[in-house]
Amino acid sequence: MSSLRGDSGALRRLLAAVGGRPSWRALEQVADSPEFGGYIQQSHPSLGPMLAGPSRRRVLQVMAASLALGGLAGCDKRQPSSGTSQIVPYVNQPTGLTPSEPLDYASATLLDGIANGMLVTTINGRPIKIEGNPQHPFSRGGTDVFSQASVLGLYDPDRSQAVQHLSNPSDWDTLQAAMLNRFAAVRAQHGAGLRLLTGPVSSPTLLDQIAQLKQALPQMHWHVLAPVGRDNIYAGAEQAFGKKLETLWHFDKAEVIVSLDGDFLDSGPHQIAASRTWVAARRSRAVQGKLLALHAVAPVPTLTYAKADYHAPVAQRDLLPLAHALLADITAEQESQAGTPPATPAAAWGANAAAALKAAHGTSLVVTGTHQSPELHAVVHQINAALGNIGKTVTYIDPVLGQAEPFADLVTAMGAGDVTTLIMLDTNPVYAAPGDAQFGTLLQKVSLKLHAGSHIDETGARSDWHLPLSHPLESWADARSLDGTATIIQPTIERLYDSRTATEILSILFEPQPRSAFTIMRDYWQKQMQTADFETVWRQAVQAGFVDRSAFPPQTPTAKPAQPAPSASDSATPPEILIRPDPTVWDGSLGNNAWLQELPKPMLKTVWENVVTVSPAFAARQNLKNGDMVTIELGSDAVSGPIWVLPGQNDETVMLQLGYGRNSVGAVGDGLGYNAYALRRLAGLWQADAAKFQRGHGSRTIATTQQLDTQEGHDYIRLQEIGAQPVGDTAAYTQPTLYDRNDSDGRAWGMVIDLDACTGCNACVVACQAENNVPVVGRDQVLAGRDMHWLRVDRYYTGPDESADARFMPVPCMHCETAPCELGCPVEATLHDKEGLNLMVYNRCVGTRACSAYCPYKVRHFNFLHYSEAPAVVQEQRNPSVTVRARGVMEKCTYCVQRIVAGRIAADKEDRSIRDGEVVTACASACPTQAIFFGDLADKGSAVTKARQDSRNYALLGELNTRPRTTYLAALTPTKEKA
Amino acid sequence: MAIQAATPKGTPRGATIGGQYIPPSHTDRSIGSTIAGIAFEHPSRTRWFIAFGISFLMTGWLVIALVWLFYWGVGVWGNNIPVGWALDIVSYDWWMGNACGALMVSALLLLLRQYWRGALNRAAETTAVLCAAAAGVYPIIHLGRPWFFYWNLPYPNNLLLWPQFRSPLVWDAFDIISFLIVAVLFWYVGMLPDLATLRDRASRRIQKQMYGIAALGWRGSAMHWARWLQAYRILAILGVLQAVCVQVGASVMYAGTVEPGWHDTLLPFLFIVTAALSGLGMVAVLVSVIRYLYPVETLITRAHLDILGRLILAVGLLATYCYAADFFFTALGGDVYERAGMMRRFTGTYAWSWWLIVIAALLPIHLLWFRGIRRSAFMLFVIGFLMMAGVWGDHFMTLVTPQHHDFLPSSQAFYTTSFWAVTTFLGTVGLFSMLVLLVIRYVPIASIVESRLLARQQQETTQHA
Repeated sequence: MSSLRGDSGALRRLLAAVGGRPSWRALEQVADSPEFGGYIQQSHPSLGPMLAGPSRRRVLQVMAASLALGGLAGCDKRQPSSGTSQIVPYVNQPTGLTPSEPLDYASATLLDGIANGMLVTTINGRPIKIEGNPQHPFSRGGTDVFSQASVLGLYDPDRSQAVQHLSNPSDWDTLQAAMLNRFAAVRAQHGAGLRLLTGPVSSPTLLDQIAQLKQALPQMHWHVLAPVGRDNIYAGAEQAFGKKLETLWHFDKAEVIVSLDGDFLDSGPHQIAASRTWVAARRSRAVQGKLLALHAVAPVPTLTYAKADYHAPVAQRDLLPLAHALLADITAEQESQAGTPPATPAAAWGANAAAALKAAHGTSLVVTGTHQSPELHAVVHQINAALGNIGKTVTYIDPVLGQAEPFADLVTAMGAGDVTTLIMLDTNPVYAAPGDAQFGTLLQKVSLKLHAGSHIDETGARSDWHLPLSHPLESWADARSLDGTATIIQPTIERLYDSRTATEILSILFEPQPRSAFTIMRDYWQKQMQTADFETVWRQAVQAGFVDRSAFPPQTPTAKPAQPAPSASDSATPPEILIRPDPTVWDGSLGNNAWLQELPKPMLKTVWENVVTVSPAFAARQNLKNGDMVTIELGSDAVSGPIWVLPGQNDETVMLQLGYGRNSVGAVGDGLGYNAYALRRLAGLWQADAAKFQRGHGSRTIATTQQLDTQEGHDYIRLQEIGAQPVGDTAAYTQPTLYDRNDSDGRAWGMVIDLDACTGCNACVVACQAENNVPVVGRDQVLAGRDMHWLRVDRYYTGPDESADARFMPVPCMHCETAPCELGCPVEATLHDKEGLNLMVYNRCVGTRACSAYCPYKVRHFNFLHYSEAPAVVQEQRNPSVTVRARGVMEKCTYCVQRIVAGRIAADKEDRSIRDGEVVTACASACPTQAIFFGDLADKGSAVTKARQDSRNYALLGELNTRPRTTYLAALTPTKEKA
Repeated sequence: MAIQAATPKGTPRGATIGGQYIPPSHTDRSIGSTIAGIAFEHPSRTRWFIAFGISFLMTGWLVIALVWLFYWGVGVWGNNIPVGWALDIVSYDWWMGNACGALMVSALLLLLRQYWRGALNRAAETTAVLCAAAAGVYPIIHLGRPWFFYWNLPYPNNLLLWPQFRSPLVWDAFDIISFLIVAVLFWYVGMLPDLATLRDRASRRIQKQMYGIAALGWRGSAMHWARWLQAYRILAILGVLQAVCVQVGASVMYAGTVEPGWHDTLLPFLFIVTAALSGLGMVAVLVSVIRYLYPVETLITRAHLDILGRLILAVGLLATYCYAADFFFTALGGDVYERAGMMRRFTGTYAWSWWLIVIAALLPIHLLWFRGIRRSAFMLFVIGFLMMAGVWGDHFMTLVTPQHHDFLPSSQAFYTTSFWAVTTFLGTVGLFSMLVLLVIRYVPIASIVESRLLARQQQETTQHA
């Protein structure tokens, strides 16, 4: 683009040089100049011949035709080969499509190349919302923030929209023509010099395509760059079992869980399934009056660590010794009780955990995290083996990700000049490769660089060809979920731009007659299924969103004996520097997604940037406070970021997050935060221990959505000890009131949120934003205190800083029966309906903000500025059933009133009452752990009524006599042992 | 004359020498010519023009600030969630408090037949009218969608929609409107005989005509005087009621919530007291300025300043009592949120607003125990200004401190004002001072009729003695 701008600048200078008062004649002079010719040649090559000829009329004809034909672009271009006509609705729809009725398609969303089954809600042909696919054998209806936000990614205005050759617009035919000779030569050399670099791939079709390529071109190499990846998991299994394996947890068979920096509740492709099964198991234990205790240690608090019943912060370098100690303790012949009482909290934790594990032989489970070293993974496998857990609480399957050659080999080969052609598919190595790879520099040595990606990112800008990659919501594709289930991705909209899927791009490059993604995939599965009745099976698979019984069979490998514990680490100079993916923008590839940027990081509650987290004690020692800039130097690489003090973090640990410091991702994500990839090393992705930590200059204000971390002595989050007196009460509903009303129409909507099941994952927050057209306001407005999330997740700490307990509390509108806000509004823009909803009538609101001032929960949000303005393509995402609010109008959670209305209409048409579970709010349906119950409190049999009768049920600030319709179930804690 | 029958029951002792507010040498004629002369001759012209120029520019800025505001929305101010009401409502409450306080004092003194008020009542009533005008800007512009402001009012419409009558904001809208009507009528009706005097004394034709129209055909007949006195006193009663209503109404906007620091029965009374305090402060400032600009020392005398000082002292002590009561109620009442809110008032981020009340209002009133200070126009100017600043601090504290942190710690957010919010407030100051300058330029700056009455009454008292 910059070259074009430069040229038009030259044209402007030329125009200025023509004279003081340019006339039409002057324009002709300019048109004859060589500069203009050059400009046309470069930016509009197709116009060149026309201008060269005598016929200006011809130019006018073409322009008129293009105007007239522009309208045809809206016409249906469905072709049998594109497969769009083959997509199958999830439910049995009558033939045709009812306008403005939502229609769901089973599909999937991808994270790190791994699928979770989803339903895509489309209205009038536009995908507008992601819901979980309850039929999917792995994800079972849950969602996470990434899947919820992926629908906004489709409409990202900064997506690349056309093929680019050397930064100039081109097209697919030109690409194909240009590559014809080039790839003929490659083929003649059996692929020598050709390298394929992809992101992590689990797609059976794509893996098959790559396998065939390698067969045809034996000298071709395939590498994977996975910024997060699962290599440590595979390597750990290889150390313990002799082969690469995926680990699957079965919490339902466990009585005790021990996590050594485990991340099963944290972001990742496993999050949805793992948190769902963990909570289900915890609930079934609670019914038996027991606690499925979770013991956790971690250097940096994670969601898994926060939900643990017993936890202690432990340095990264102490984790492996701790694991070895646990193993030794468990395998020890006799009890080693006689020793001195444990000296440190970590040792006390270890003794407690070991005792619990020994008491639960075969019904315990030890886990560790994606980012932990292979050695730790191996020891954890050996502990599970020693406890007899393998085959019971933990099973193993083959890796779902395709195993390619290491990325480091590609770097070496590029350095040696062995790479002549590099195809980069859905990966951004210039940004996401470890800093010591110097990938941007090495890339210059490659003579032909092709990049396929959704954005013209750091890599796209440095490549010869950039190819726009289709979004999963507009593609035919497949991928495996973590249990191996082959999940089908079907397009829910015609491609927005002239983009292609990864499979199509490989087909264009290597096949004489390029096939469509649909054909490629269908051909693969036809070959794979080998069944006479393929059509039926295929249609079923597409309709259900997955291939039935395609999960990998579980294996129960035998663990090798443990390696001896490493000698005590010669204590390297603290602090230890850890690098972790960002919980919202992940590895940075989602950096242009405004929902994810404005989503508070679950533990930090910061938005729009990454920070450097340290423990309170560390900060006090170094005299650092939130926002103080620090510099972390490793060799010649250095990054500067602001400090954020994180209670519960280990004292010697400093955490950096990936995903920021980008400059060519788009208008949303550019220029935010620091780039931690610079400190990554090919040899160790998750730790930069040799780095120097220094105080930097100055400080910056960090946007956060929650400033205070403690409950100030109150019990907003109540805790229920197992077996103790119930902490719930109904006191909130027994006080007298002047506003007692009995004009109900027989329904009473209510919500119960189970704080024990809430893992703080934020899926509900993004789901609410997607469903209700909640605007994004940007960093400055968050700093001003004007974030708009209708549903927020409060995070409170209890206990001392070093072992702080973090607890989460989602806060939507309480829909108080005696709502204070309704008293304040002078124009009755907020009022009650007969089903107990506290309504907000946007077009009656004049914006006095009285309701917010009157609200004790502060769940109302005001459009201080024109927040709903957005690029046209972003507006395509909006839910047509929900009003887009103008500036000057108050808004808040409506219990998804549009869904209630839809349910009421459906029930009225059939002359019946609304069935329990028929109306589900966006937050409740998004929740992977089903922590949110919603329904009719007047219906004695409804799930929400039952939840409300739980002895743990209580109202937030119930003493104010607001009679909230949203109530909470206290979180479970272990019975306090008498010391 | 009818007025002569209304002999005052007594005069305050101490402020005057032998009950003499104005020199005994003053006659009807000299009083008339002193006050009318100011309107005709326009003394201190240069100072007036400088002050008017500055005020005019500030008013112009107000227009710019409002255009900017209407274009972008209230987001140009620093308001946020939870502090949805900030400088806009602080300014509104403060202006309205000044208006109510000034009107209440003037009307009460009339009802109590204190004729020495003639020196002060024009200043007080002008303050009431013009402060209400400055305040009247805010209820409309602070709305998110100001073009729908009339939805706050009950008017027949084909949607059969009415305001929500439980809302204190609706009643506040009625309050402002009726206050403006009563205040303007009180000010104007009280001025009728004076305008007629100016009409009679005017030498230029245009002045005769303009004052003549304004005087509404006042001829000074006995019937005129009788009706005038009746109307003036009825309006005074309405004015007192109105002032109380407006302040109670404004305070119920907060007291009607469940929010800690707002949900308080003391709040309405505190609002009335602080309104009187800042209203008197503003009258003191205005009177000092008039004395500085114009040769009226013999009509607005040190005795008048003295009595004004005593009033401020009395109201200030009442305010001190209210704050003390609030402290004890909260400290002993036991509500943990109230107590935490009170601690934030004393020590939190916005503690400056509480200490502004203490330093600018509650402490300086004690200077007024000294006669010398009470009788110094300059000191009264300074103290009056401090009272206004202190009460401004009170409104800020009442609004922002409870809002920024109420019940849930997670809701806490701090409010920072913005350039546009501050300059909008300064613009309303400009609007107020521009209108004040116009009024004191063209309208009798003290009541001619009541000053004459005072002179006669003084003569009678001396004759009786």
